[in-house]
Amino acid sequence: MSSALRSSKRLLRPGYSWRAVAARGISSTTRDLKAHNFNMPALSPTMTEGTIASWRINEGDKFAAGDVILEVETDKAQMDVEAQDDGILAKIFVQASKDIVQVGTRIGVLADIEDDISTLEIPPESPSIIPQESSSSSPPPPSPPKQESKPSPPPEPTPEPSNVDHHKPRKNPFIPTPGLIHLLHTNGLRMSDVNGTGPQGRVLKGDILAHIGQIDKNKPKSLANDIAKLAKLDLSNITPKKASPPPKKEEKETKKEKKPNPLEAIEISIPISLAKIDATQRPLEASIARAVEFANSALPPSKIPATPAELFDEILGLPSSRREPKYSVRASEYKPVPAAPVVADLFDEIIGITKPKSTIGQDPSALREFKVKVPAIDRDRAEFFLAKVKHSLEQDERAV
Amino acid sequence: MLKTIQRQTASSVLRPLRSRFASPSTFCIADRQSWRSYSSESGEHDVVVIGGGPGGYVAAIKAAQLGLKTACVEKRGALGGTCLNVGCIPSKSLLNNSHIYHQIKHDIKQRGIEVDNVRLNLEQMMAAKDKSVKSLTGGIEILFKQNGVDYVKGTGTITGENEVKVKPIDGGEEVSLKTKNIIIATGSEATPFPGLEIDEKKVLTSTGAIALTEVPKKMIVIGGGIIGLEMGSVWSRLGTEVTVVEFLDAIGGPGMDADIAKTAQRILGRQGIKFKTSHKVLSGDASGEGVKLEIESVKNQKQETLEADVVLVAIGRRPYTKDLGLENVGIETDERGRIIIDQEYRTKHENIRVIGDVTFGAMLAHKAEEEGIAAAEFIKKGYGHVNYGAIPSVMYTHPEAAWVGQTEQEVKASGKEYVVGTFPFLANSRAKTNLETDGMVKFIAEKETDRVLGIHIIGPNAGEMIAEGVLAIEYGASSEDIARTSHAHPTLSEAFKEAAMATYDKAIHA
Ligand SMILES: Cc1cc2nc3c(=O)[nH]c(=O)nc-3n(C[C@H](O)[C@H](O)[C@H](O)COP(=O)(O)OP(=O)(O)OC[C@H]3O[C@@H](n4cnc5c(N)ncnc54)[C@H](O)[C@@H]3O)c2cc1C
Repeated sequence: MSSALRSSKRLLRPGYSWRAVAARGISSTTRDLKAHNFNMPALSPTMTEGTIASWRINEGDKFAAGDVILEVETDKAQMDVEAQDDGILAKIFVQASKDIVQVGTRIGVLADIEDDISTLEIPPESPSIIPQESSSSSPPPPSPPKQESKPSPPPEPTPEPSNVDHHKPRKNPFIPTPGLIHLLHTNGLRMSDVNGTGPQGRVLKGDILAHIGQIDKNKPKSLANDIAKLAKLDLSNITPKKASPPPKKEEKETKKEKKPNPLEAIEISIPISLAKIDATQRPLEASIARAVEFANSALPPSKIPATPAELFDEILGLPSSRREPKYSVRASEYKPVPAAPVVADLFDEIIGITKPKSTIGQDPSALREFKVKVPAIDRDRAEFFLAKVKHSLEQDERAV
Repeated sequence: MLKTIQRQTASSVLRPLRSRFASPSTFCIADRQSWRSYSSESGEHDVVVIGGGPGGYVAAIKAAQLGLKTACVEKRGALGGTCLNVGCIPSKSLLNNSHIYHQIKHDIKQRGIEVDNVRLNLEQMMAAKDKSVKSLTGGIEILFKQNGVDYVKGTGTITGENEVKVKPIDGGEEVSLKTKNIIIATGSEATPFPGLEIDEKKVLTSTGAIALTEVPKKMIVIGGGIIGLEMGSVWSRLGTEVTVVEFLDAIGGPGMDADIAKTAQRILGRQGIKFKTSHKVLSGDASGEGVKLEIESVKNQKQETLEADVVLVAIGRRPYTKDLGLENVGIETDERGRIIIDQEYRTKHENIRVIGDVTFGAMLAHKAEEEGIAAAEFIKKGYGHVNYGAIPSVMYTHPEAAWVGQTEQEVKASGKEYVVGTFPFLANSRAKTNLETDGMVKFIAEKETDRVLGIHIIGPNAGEMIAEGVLAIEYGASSEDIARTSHAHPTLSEAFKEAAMATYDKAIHA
């Protein structure tokens, strides 16, 4: 998702992406070309593909700023693509059809209004800036046949044309970073053998380690997804100022009644007041993170049955490979339910707290519902965990 | 049906193809002309920016460069906002110059330099600060002229989705600006401490603390965050006995990695700043000659009274929306007063966007600037981008502390397995040569992939060094990538490289 966003940013600013091309030294002649590739535009940050509904002008036609050049259709909408400046549509590579075209695929060539298109040099297709995972419905190849050697990796989004003869078609247009060179050499790999999960599809060290089977195949991707989340402004858990929480009892917990399968995931929640944290003016997210870390630090052992491997280690007297599960929480708006939470007492008893056990937030607007998902068998453990989080956030300043 | 207008084509006038050495200003001019059709009838603006701080002025300049007819409303009488007038810039001027003073007094003798009769001329130190501020804020006014931004001096109030009324600061008649888009960038103000009335003489915010006319004997700083520690450092170096009272058990705030916070507290403590962490201020009394504060330990509820000449309230900053007229267009804030937005900075009105301190995210000048650019690009191109995972933070004490990415505590809480690599400046040749060996570099990388998740530095020049860390995170680097990149010898940056080596393998010099 984030890589799609980035690529569409580039696509929306072709002027810059051209500069980037030149700077990468793909072809020094690129700078002097008179015409410019016109790629399938991303008309929204999330758009990755679309179809060309119609070209509004013909090959060779001149157009003026503001003219609609073509219509693009996505699964969401049909949109006009307007020219920002005067020019000539020198060439059309992808005709209107029902075929899906990936964002970034060359669909035409534009020339400046003064250019003579009869003598115009058609530029080579620019290297892809599309994330690797987009399995493209292959764009019409410029002229040379694709030199796809292996069937397994996803197809190359935009192969370089053969008229840039000193460049072989490459799947990955990035040069290896300093830390990769060793790994590539010692494993007899080339960049083009490996799929990238880094920004804009870059190959990272983890990708090579995953490729050679040294680490879990899915690790780099899942890490990339986590990191992509951090790249966004955190707008979760917003509570508008005067929001008067409507005390509607929703489809609340029929789960508690059922006797669940011991490993079935259940959700446990308690209300926690954030009044105290708010008063300190500290970032909420970090305070919660600290409280969660603290709460995870000393939990009773999980009742999840040990795996055969873990049992085996135990039999052999090896240090246990078992890792106690750690929990993370989700906070959401608090909707009062009739049943009073009892978990606070449990914790108070254990650590001998005699303080008022009710939620200190007399101010109900500071209350949030904190939830954790656990296998049913670990309900007590999760309740204890939540009680610790609650204690940290409401009572114990050290933990926040 | 929604009609998206794709204004950018491959024949964008921004492209530097025709003239290979075209200067940036050439682009702007060309772009500007091409945009005329959009700029509508004269009089109406495409964008009115309210607030001329780092968020607002950057948004205004960028919007104008993109060819939009832009005005910026600022009521302060000078551009640059909190940052240039009473924040980043004046505080850094005082930090730099007080450090030189302190160094001459206490440090240079061991280096073989003897200076007699060192005296402080506070008036001149303040004048030097004011000069820096003036030239920088004046510079922005020139940039406005060069880029064709209309600078409207006055208080802006939103009176309708497409209208901003401005009350001029010189008392003239109210003017109405009609506009297609509004960008709100009204920033923040210091959060007051209940029961202590700010007079900026005895009870100060940072604004008073950068403008004292004499060196106080004793100062209490309420709040051990970055602003409190920076201002505390300034006055401590100039001779004030400074006590910092912090509610949490660590200084620096939760954004700072716990190891760095601990090291910072130790070093600053050695410099003479006293810390009362895990203490809360119960009440204050400024009615007498000085100020008295009742404080209580949050650990054992023991109470005590602190006395000082001045108290600096530095418990945080809150969004500033006074006179902005949000109620006229029904724009909501959250409980902490932050204006509610979506990922494209839009309020419930698509054409009204919000950036900087007045909305969500870290209250940092460079974060506001990035958003200013993105907001202008969203308006013109429908797409903008800020990577919130790669925004550095710097504390300009001596030594500096700087970081980017996640803290070890955050990584741990996320359940990831990770490796930590550290390298002390004590083992760095340049730091040793400079006789400045406090601090360390700390890397956190994901265990299996070695991808860098966070970099935390405390040490000389950490604020400059962190730039390499930001690039590393932007590019998804592994610690090995950094470790295998040559760093000049002898430089402090070798400590950065060695910490990276220690993360994926072993350091050489430790
Ligand atoms: C002492 C101190 C030191 C700091 N040091 C650093 C640092 O080293 N690095 C860093 O990154 N950040 C630092 N900051 C934070 C930084 O100053 C802010 O993050 C930054 O200024 C935010 O920019 P902004 O544009 O959102 O708002 P501001 O800079 O606050 O600007 C908002 C402007 O809007 C104007 N305004 C408000 N309402 C209206 C209205 N209705 N009409 C017209 N004008 C209006 C205000 O007068 C103000 O000038 C520091 C802050 C302080 C206080």
